[in-house]
Amino acid sequence: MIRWSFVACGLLLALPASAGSVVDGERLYRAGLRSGGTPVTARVMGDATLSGRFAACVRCHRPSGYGVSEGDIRSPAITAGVLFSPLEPRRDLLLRELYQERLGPTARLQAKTPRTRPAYRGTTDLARALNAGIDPSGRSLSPSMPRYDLDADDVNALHAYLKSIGTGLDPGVDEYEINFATIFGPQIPPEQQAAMTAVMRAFVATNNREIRREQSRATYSPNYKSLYVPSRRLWRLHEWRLTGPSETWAAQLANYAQRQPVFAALGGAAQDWGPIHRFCEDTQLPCLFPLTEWPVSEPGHFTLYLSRGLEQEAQMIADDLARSGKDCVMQIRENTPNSRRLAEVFGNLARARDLAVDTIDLAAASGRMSQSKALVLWLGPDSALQVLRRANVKTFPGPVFAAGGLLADRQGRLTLRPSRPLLLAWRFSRPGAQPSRIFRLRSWLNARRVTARTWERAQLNSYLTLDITRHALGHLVDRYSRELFIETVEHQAESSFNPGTFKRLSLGPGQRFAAKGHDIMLLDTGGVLSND
Amino acid sequence: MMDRRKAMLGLAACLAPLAGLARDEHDHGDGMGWAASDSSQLLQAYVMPPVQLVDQDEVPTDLAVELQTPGPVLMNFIFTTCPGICPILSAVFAKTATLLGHRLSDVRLWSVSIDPDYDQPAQLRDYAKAFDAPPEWRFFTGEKHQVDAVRSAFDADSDNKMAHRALFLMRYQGSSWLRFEGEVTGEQLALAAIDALATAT
Repeated sequence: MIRWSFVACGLLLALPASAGSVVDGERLYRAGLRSGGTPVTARVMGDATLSGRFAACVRCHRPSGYGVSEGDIRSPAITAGVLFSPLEPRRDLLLRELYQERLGPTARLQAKTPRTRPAYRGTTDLARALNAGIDPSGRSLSPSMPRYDLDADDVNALHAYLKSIGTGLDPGVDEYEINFATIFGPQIPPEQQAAMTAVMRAFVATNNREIRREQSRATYSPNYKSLYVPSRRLWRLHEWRLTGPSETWAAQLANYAQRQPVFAALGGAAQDWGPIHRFCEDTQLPCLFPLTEWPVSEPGHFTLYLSRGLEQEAQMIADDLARSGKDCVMQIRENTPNSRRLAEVFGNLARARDLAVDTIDLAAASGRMSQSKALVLWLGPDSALQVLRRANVKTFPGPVFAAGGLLADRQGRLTLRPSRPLLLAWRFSRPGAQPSRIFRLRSWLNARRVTARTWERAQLNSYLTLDITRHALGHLVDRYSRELFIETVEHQAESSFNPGTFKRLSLGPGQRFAAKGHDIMLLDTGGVLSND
Repeated sequence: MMDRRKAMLGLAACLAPLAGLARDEHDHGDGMGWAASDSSQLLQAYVMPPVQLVDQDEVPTDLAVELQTPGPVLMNFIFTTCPGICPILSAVFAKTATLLGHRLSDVRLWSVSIDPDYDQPAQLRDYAKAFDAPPEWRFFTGEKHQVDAVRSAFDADSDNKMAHRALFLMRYQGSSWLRFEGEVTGEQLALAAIDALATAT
């Protein structure tokens, strides 16, 4: 094997270095496709085969190139700075890995075993690692590292791409500070904005006080904190408020970002996040957990949402109807933007599932409904109560569905006592089911005099966003990469500090909606919500 | 943790003849690698909880009932958006299926998603297709609490799916399962399944 790879290396050296481009390298890295568009294949764990996207470098080494630890498999960093420099153990990263990452026993043993290697020098070393599984020190790479069969062009292209990743700090970070933005759309009430920014400002102030305290005692090192002082940055939170029609938001955001680049956008709120989503995707700006009823349902890469919003409720009801064979449905809408949009979205979803939909307005909802097998109310609590009093609805034999997001108040409570049981599409944690940690959070808010009970859910979600950011930055150490930030959040969401606004939180690579555990639930006439 | 590992390696040594295992010559464990780069095996008794899962073709399935049919069953835990470890676990299963050849019809392979909130049958179907899964290889999802019950019954739980370990289980006989951890190859699993088939007849 070793002899063979030396022959291969000799061939590689004979080829011009310009044969592979960064673009080809990126395609190989991210999609597992060679320059001709054919999928790569590789052997893994001795005799198994991986190909295409499952054999792409990005799968294990991630978009950032900083790798990942999963159970007993550690995929190391392969960014330019790591791969093309000698590997020398770094105490700060080692301690982070040992005490903060989730390692299985074998991976823990590996991490504890000091290991060095010379720098990868050019394409020769890279080809030997990729094709023969041997690193520049002559050691075999782990059997979980695929063994490829790449030609010189592929290796050159990959080499060019690897030279380009992880080469410096991403925008928004300098030697002393890391900048964040929180973005508000014009329709968000000033009281809600004030309640959310109060929590965020208090969090940043507390966090910066801790950072300054560590920096002031840099030589005194309880719990190895002094190791991390050079990589710590004070937080600066900018509030970006948008005005006017949504077509102008992109220009406003670009203007804000030009004046002060930020590392990530945190929290914030807008009725329709679409234009902000597109700005974040275009400028590769991580955008973490904005509060909106209308996220972009097609997942992007840089925008991570808590919930899929009202569209998810429409989808849950459409799915439930399709499953139960109720192929003819009447929906009642009122004249509010959310209700009208829900009716439109639901109409499309229903038609895609071969369900016939009859749409009527609240004012006209007294006609006959004999054809319909189910009724869907896109109504707030007052309008819903009014419709449920009507004779034709009272005696309607089929199930009546409604959107939890329209019926719940700002604190996630249901005040409606329906005259007949309703089936609710419910995305949140069950009303009244509060985790014990909420009491701790409330005292945190009280102690900082920022409590705004009406907006408690928005405040808790803002706290969650900053808390998960703080944890992620702890994992980053000095590797200020936006991609690594997103990857760390994807990793952590499941074990994050869930303030109880949603039933469960979890993400994974490519998953862009954290709230899980939604369900169609039964709202009885006493106003109690239970599993259907 | 190390004590447990030593115990497992010790047991593996006792069990190696049982499963007819030989170390794969191509697994790059060339003595230069890590001391712990081997795999371990443990014979354990596990009871599958009676939970209703659903497979990639939306067929409701009670795994406890399925296990009443004798024969080796290979099982692993995966999720479709998992970065590195699950494609490897799945590639090893694909290799196992290939190596079993005509004997595959007497062996069942089960991959249980540990991200049931995200992995619906549609996601599992795509994943199965990407690995060319034969009909004997089924993928399961279900309610989170049901999947959690299966995971904890096989000592395969973790509070975060990203921390899950490279684990294979093989129902040897009755409620006796072989537990494989570490760098397990398709050849090892295929040999173990063939051994279980031979013991049963």
